Amino acid sequence: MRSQPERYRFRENLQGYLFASPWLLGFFVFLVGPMIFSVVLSLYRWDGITSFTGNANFVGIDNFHKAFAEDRFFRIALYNTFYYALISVPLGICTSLLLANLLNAKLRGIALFRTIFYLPNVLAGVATIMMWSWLFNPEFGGFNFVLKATGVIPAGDFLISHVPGLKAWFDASGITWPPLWFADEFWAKPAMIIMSLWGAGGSMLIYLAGLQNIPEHLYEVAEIDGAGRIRQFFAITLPMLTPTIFFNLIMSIIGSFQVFSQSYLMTNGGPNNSTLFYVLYLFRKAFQHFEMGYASALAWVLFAIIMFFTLIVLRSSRLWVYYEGEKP
Amino acid sequence: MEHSGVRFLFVGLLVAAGLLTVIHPRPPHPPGPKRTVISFSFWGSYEEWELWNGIANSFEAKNPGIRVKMNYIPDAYDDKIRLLLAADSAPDVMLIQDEPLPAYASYGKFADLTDWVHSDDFPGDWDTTFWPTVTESFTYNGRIMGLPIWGGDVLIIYNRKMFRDMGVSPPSDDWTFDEFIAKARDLTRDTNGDGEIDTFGFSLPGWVYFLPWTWGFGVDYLDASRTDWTFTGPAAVAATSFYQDLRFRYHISPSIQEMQNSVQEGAMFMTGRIGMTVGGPWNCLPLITEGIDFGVAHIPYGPARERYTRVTWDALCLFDKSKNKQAALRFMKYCIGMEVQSRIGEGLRSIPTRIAAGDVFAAAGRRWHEEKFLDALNYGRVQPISIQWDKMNNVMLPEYELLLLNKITPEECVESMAENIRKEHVFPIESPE
Amino acid sequence: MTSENLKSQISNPQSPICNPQSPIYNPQSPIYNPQFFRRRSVQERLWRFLCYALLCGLAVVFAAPFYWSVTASISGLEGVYASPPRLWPEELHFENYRKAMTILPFHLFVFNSFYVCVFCLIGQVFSASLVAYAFARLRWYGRDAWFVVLLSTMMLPAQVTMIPHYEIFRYLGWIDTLKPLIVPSFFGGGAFFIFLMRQFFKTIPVELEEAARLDGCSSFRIFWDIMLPLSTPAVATIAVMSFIGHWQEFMAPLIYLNSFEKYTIAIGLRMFQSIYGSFPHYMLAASNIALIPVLILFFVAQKYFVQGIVLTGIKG
Repeated sequence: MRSQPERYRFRENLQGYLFASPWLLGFFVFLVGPMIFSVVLSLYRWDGITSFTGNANFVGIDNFHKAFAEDRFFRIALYNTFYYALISVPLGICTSLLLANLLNAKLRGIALFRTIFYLPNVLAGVATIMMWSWLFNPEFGGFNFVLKATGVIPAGDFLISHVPGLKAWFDASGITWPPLWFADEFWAKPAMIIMSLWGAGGSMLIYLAGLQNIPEHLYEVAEIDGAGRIRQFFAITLPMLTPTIFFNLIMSIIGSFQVFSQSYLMTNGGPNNSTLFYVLYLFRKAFQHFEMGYASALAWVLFAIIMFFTLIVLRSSRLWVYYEGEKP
Repeated sequence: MEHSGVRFLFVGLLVAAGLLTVIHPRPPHPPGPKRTVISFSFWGSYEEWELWNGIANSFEAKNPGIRVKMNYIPDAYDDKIRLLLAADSAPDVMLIQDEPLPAYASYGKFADLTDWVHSDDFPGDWDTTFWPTVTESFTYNGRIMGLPIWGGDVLIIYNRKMFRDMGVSPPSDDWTFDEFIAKARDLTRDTNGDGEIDTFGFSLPGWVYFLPWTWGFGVDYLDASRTDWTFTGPAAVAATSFYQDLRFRYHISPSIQEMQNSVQEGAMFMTGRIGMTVGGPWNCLPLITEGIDFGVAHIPYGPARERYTRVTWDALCLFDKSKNKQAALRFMKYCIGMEVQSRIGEGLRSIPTRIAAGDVFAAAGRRWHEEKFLDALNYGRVQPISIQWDKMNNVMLPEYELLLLNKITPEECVESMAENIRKEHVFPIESPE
Repeated sequence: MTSENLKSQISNPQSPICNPQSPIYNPQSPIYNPQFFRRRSVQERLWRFLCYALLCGLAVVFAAPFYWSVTASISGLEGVYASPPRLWPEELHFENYRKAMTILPFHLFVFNSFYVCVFCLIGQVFSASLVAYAFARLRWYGRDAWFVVLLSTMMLPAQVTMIPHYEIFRYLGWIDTLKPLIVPSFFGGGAFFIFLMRQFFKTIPVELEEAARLDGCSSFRIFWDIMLPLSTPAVATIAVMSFIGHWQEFMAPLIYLNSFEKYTIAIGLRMFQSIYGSFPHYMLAASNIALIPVLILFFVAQKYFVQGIVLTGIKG
């Protein structure tokens, strides 16, 4: 007969699998097949329209070789995506963190403010595109208006006209000031990054939820000990929020490397391929150039890149994530 | 307290879900005898939805044994059609544009209609029933792959009020490129004296609309068989140079900066900031509704003393693996019959492909504009479309963007385009990979 | 505010703060100085003012596009394209709203969207938290490896699995039904929500669970009676994000639905645009109407963003 701990272990395993079974089942039914199929596909050349069995050619790792050795758009897409990800991830995390703290204040009408800050996420579809095009209009769009009002644009104008050589440099490189945003190669990606910040509402909501879990008494004790607001933020709020930060960090990494719909709907990769992001390029290869096998290879390269960064964060989490609920 | 909160939420949602499964505002299925069902896909706004519903209803009234199931795809039309074709579950009849056709045809997804078209079943004679260029646009490798039902050409649309106010004479029917530039320059003015140009003579939505001018210089992008790139040589450089000059040397088109200072190019014409633009009959309808005083002029003659306009047609294609080909063909035949073609003409949005319905189209509008569109069909020319249309576009667009930002010269643009077309394997096209 | 609480406790000689034996008594703390609370209230007022100012400023920035969307929806076609955009439309066209609702079979689309969203909400909230509990607290063989697999399902771009997915649903006969939109929500509801709940569950003190187990609770009872109620903010977050996500979802309904009467509101809004000419004023009117349930839900969900139970006394 099984000993006590063994029986307990078996029961715990069973319970674990039972609780996780909805996802496991779904994974095996809906996800595993397509994923394996796309791995296989990355070793073939297939147009994606005619039937696979008759028309696909096995090429081995030639797709991967072609991507790294010959395809200049692959390099462009990779550069654009890294640029976007490496800037928008840290920026996004800081902004939504600060916003969430601001919105956690016990002020009257805070619920209204929270709704307003979440609004950009809620406006759907094509209305959003019109809204963004208007916002980034150089003459009277919301964004340049703010820049003008806060003096950034006049300051830039002053610098350009008075600092020797600066104007020549601007003219030679073709960078515009005031920024032309989506019409300018240089400013298009920053515009996309700013767009992503506006959509900070999602992660802000998650931070808000995380903030609710921080026990009030910690702040009280800190106050008794004479800690000011700033000190309280760094000593209590931030460490207690690390599980949420961990979540948002991984989700931002995964999401920003797969940025697609903004460039598909608004710029179509332009101007001059400056917003040709990786997934947009992949989409083109799969559905417009009829190179489904190559697109699958590209997908798995992206997978490897994202996995690499995620694993780094995962491994490092032991060092900086503090779960209040678990024993130190 | 929070305890009961979550439970309350759960129970409330379960009740809501239960109610939802019971209440259904779905329109009931019309009862009746078993009929052959064919599915038909199309794009458009709610106006096209109403148009096709009307057509399907009258078709069903005439053919009680067939039911037409509407597959209305309001957005991402090409993406969904490609997915459906890949999964072999495409609709029986599909409305297809001319641009993706060669790709679909080359992959064998559309039924070959050549034999049917030349048989007695076809209402009319393939060669004489339609406008010139119609039959050419949906023929691939000598096989007919679709039945064109509507489309049109593009002409110069100009703001008559602006011409009058600025004292510029309207375009004549056989004006030339030089006269065109002169008139446009007259219209480009600083109207309020603030040092910035407020009105522009001319503006184009994209390089495809510039095709009439490219052709006017005597050059085209692809050869007749659509397998070779021919946009090289002095004529190509002249055409590209003209395109760039519109914006910089003559400054009759707004630069990117100036254009960005309004919301959209189409809006600039409608708000009276652009004097002339290029468009088809579909662009005229909103102008009529908004009460804008506009006129339509023929494309000017090029240096080679030729002129062309770009035609575009949309057709109904039959899915090769359809299970109800006969019923589908009936429907397609109905759509190129006089009834439907007249309805299309009345809608004023596109020109019906049947020559006989041309008069309906002209009568539905103000007549003098529509007749110009119909006349221009005589010098219409089909866009150079290859199997790898999207790839070609992806190569050409960035080059044109650089050109219009004045970052490269016309010679560099032409050279770089030719080089990239070769590098990206846009041709040869027997093996699309 | 914390200071109020402290203030009342200081004046109460029975409270732990005034009791020298209590562990939180700190003789060096500034709070025993009567000046402390007066200074604090001035600081509080300054702080409050700053917060309000910042909030209002940012709120203008965040709400401006929505404001434009509302004003553009009640202007004529020319008003939408006015450049520069006007602060208030010249002509008011309130009938845009009536027209938008009559042109589209609004009741049909809204019903379908509600149908999908409510079921998805239920499915995602409950299956995600069930699975998250397994990842957060239960120990089972291969758990950490499966967690990496869970994350990896989000790393592959959907474009390359679109065709096989479609084939699977076609094999099951679910094309042109609402099932492909709803059923996957019941199978874990997506790695995003599972991961989110896992993080929240991990912040709940283990001691509660241990105490419950000592009392003989089964895992499910612990999950249902302890973990879920303590995670109300997280559950509210998932509810809001799930509802809004499915309400706006466009690609999946477009791909899997063929019949007009099954379309959701996201597809319906596209009926106001086409290559022949768009009707942005109607579209904005319709999308603003479609916004209303979402905003109501968000507002209501705020009630659940409350502080968790005060855990004094648990530690030491």
